[in-house]
Amino acid sequence: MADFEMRHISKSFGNVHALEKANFSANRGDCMGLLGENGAGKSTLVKILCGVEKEDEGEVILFGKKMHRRTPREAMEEGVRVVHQELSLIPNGTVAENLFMTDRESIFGRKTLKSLTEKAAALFEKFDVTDLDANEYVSDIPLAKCQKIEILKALAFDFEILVLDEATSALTEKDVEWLFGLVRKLSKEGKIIIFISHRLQEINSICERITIFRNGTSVCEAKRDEMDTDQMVTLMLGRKMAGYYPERCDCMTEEVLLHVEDLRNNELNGISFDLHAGEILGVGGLSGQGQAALFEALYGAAPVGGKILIRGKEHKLHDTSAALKNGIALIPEDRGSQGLALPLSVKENITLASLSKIRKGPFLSATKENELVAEMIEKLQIKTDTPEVPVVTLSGGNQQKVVLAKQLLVGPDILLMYDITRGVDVGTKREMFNLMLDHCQEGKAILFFSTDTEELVHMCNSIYVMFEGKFKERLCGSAMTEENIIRVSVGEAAV
Amino acid sequence: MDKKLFWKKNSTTISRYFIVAILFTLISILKPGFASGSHIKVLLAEAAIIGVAAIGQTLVIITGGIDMSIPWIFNGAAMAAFAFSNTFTGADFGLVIIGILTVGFLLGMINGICVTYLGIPSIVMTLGTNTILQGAVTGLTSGSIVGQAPNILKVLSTGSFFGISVAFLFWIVLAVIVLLLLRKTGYGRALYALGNNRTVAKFSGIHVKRVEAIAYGISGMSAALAGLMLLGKTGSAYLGMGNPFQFQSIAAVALGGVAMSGGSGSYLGTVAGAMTIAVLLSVLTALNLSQAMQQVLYGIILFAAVLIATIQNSKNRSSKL
Amino acid sequence: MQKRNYDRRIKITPDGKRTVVSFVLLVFFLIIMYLVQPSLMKPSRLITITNGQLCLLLGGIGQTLVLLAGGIDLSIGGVICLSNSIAALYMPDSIPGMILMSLLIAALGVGIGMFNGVIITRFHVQPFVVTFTVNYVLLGIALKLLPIDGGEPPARYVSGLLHNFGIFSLSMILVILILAGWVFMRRTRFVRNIYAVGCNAKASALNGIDVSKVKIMTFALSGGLAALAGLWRTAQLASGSPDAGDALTMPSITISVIGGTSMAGGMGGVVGTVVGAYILRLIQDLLTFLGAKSFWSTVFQGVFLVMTVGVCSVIDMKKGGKKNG
Repeated sequence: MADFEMRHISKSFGNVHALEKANFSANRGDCMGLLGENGAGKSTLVKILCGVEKEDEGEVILFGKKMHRRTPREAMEEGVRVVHQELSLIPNGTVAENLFMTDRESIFGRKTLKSLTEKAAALFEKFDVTDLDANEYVSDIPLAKCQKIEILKALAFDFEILVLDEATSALTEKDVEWLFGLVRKLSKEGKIIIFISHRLQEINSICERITIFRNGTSVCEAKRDEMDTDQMVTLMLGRKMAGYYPERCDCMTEEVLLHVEDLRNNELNGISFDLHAGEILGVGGLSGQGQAALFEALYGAAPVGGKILIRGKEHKLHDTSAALKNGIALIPEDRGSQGLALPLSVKENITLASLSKIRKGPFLSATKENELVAEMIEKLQIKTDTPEVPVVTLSGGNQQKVVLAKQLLVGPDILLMYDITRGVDVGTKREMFNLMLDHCQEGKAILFFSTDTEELVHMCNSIYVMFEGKFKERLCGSAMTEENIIRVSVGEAAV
Repeated sequence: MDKKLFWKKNSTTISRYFIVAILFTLISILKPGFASGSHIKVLLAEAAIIGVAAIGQTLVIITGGIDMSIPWIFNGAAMAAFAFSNTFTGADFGLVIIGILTVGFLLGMINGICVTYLGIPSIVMTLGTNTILQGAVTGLTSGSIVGQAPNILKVLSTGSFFGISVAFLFWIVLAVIVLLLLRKTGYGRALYALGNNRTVAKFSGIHVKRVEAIAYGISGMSAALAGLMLLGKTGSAYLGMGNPFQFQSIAAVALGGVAMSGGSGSYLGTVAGAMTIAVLLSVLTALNLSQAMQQVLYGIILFAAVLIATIQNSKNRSSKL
Repeated sequence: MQKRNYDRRIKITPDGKRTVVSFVLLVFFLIIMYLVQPSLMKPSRLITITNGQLCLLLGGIGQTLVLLAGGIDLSIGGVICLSNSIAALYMPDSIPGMILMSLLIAALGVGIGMFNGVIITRFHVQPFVVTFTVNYVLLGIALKLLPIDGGEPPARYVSGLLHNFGIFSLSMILVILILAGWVFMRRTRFVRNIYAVGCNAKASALNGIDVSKVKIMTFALSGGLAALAGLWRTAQLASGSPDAGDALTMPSITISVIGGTSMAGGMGGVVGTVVGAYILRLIQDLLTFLGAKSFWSTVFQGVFLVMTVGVCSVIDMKKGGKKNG
């Protein structure tokens, strides 16, 4: 039996099974790499470990003893320290205050800044940190250093298990080196380190063992040197059910619908591309590389620098209604928070973006509305008893179709589709793909981001892979393979 | 729409009418004369003023905000009409009314613009406006003014038409307009959408800020209108006459089952809420309770109403999810 | 060479930077006051002002704590009125009795605050609705106890609290103690948690902070402080009023915000609030001196609230905008 084990962990959110009987184990002194595509269940596993979520089933055992972790605090007290992906620093506290924020002293226990600063200095000395000032206020510190503070915060107290969840994403190269040295030292001391990263290179250089997750379960646990990159990529992808993709049509023309030049904001690093009539242009890469920022910028939902030309004419998209007017519509990623007003009816949601179409005098025409809604329900085959039911009662796939119906009703030339197939069943996926092709055959175009690489390969005319706010590589023709997408996503070169 | 769905969707609102009916029946049994025609007429006229004052409050609460500036917009409107009644009569007074309603709308819009574009929390902004207007109205009128309630307002508030009070009929007409606005126009759709989820509304190309600001404008206008109605009823305007309506307008909305977090509810519910308040007010007065006890009971009732509405709404939502 | 991991120079905290603005305003108004009415600038005046503002100041500190944790407390006025009415009616004329009564009233305030906090966190109701309704009920109870202004607290109680020690009054000593207490408390885990919750409740929960508990504590403190404010008011007026204190809720927000506390939570502090209380008084005195009628002071209250909150909100939005692109 291993020193640390998570056994048969299951967790579902509504109908979505995030984890299904997942196993994970590690021994003292291990630096365990945790790999998987988006949605494979890595972050849910971490959340369960640190007490943010409660598992539906299964148990967590440390040194042969079952752990209770009802709250994050209890998890900390049992020796679990997590460096979360998101920063959780208090900007108006000093570095030292932030480092010891999770201190277990009594509630009215007081620490003078001086004593905290001295403690921090000792900590810095211990972990060989020279570029941080314990007295500096976090609000004055650049982002790259904030992540370092976040790591030190976890190190400030005794722990048995240290989880680094994408902890290197904002670090400089030098700091990554520093972190690796530290990880090696800690694992020598017998700590258990769990390392999650989207950079395969990093996993290769630091982890002795790796566990690969796919679809909510662990599919492989092995020594790192027993595997090469290709095997890892194959395991991450798995063998997926194929054959439900429609025949690709070649309706792409030379006409440029959308020309984008050097888009920049704090997440985008200069993006340029052309989108042609009849084209499905894929955007790949692991999530969090700026895809959301790109789509929001094109939809006028976020400010951006650079040029956007629609049918050769430059437009400044100040807000979403300007984008819709110029024929750009976004199908957002998260139905619940961006796509649908869940308690409102199917009908009200479908017509929400095109209220001007059903206006008759000052009022909305019920006849016209019902007509259009019935048409969309028919076209997209939305399964609902009547269009009057709250959209929240529909299944995930049908909800996604309602979002599609809402935006298609506007009649856009350019559809921005952001990971629309997540949590959608196979049948619905196929219908959506057919719709995409229909859309293109009408001489319109689609910008398609998906975390499912297989979809990209089967649906797109060409694919840009995004990495750290840039289009890292354009894949087309025979180079358009799942392996290549994953390779570029994790910072390797395409073959 | 099939019947089951209709009931399910409107259960909260319908239950509020049951509450009024039960309350009314119980009291009529206990207290003879309560259910007499003339008393019902008084009750409905009273409910009408509360209901009109709560029109805008309903809209603002649907957006997820709150309007605390109703009392002094209300009071200011009544004072202005009272003062101008000396110099303007007949048709000219119609212009005065239009002017007052416009000013009410603009004052509300100032609230709305500051809330949406400057990001001032609605509670603070409208409290501030309320205080400013309190000072301004007190100052401009130097405490008391001489005038008379114009006939048109007297008829509006105390007249009757085939035995039904004009105020009530007027209220019904307004209620129909508000219901049409909320249910049958693009504006109403946008209002519910943004109250539910601002991001979704924004991503659907709705001018979120504009829609929200107008809700505050309507609130200012309805407050002014209610002020005119009360002026007609009491026959004079005095400082502080709008004060009870801050609480009552919110209570009417909450008793109507509208969630304070926004995105749901209907003016029909508020209508029931306003009737409930009118009945309660009349009972509390009839019971000869001191004003203090009335206030305590009142507060507790609102507290319970808000809590029940919140719990009901969160249950509805979680059962659907 | 010795490796140095921290800079020994004193740095101004981000909260401090916000407070500096309020100090600048204070100095500005002091100068104006001196120019228009030099005779008012003497120590005895400070005693009068402090005695007059201590009630608002206590309420404002409670409001600040609640705002820091991301809430708002509209029941401060109600608690002040209730505490004022009870003290004016029932304060016994013996030292132990006075102390016991004061403690009871303070405990009542804490209880009301806790009730607010529990309802807000347990049922997820917006703070303003809960505290607004509770305020209404409290005002009703106060009115029930004391139907008209009146009541007579024992003379010893009044003179005791309004006692002067040379150029210092008890109220000034209390203000100094409050400031010292805050500077001490600022570094406790409890206060750091309040800031953390106000900055980012989600991240605080990840860091193992019990967010609900922190919020309830701020409301409880606010209730307790408001009760103390009512006790002070009883001495200051030597009588009770069931509704006059209600007008203090709004200025309690105003002085918090002038003092640099953000309505969005997580930024600001009590020192600024204390300064804010003095600024407000100076401006009111100036208005009186300029011969403005009392209703102008009401108008000004509202304008000042909206203006300060508006300016702060726009500045914060700009700053946030810069960070988020």
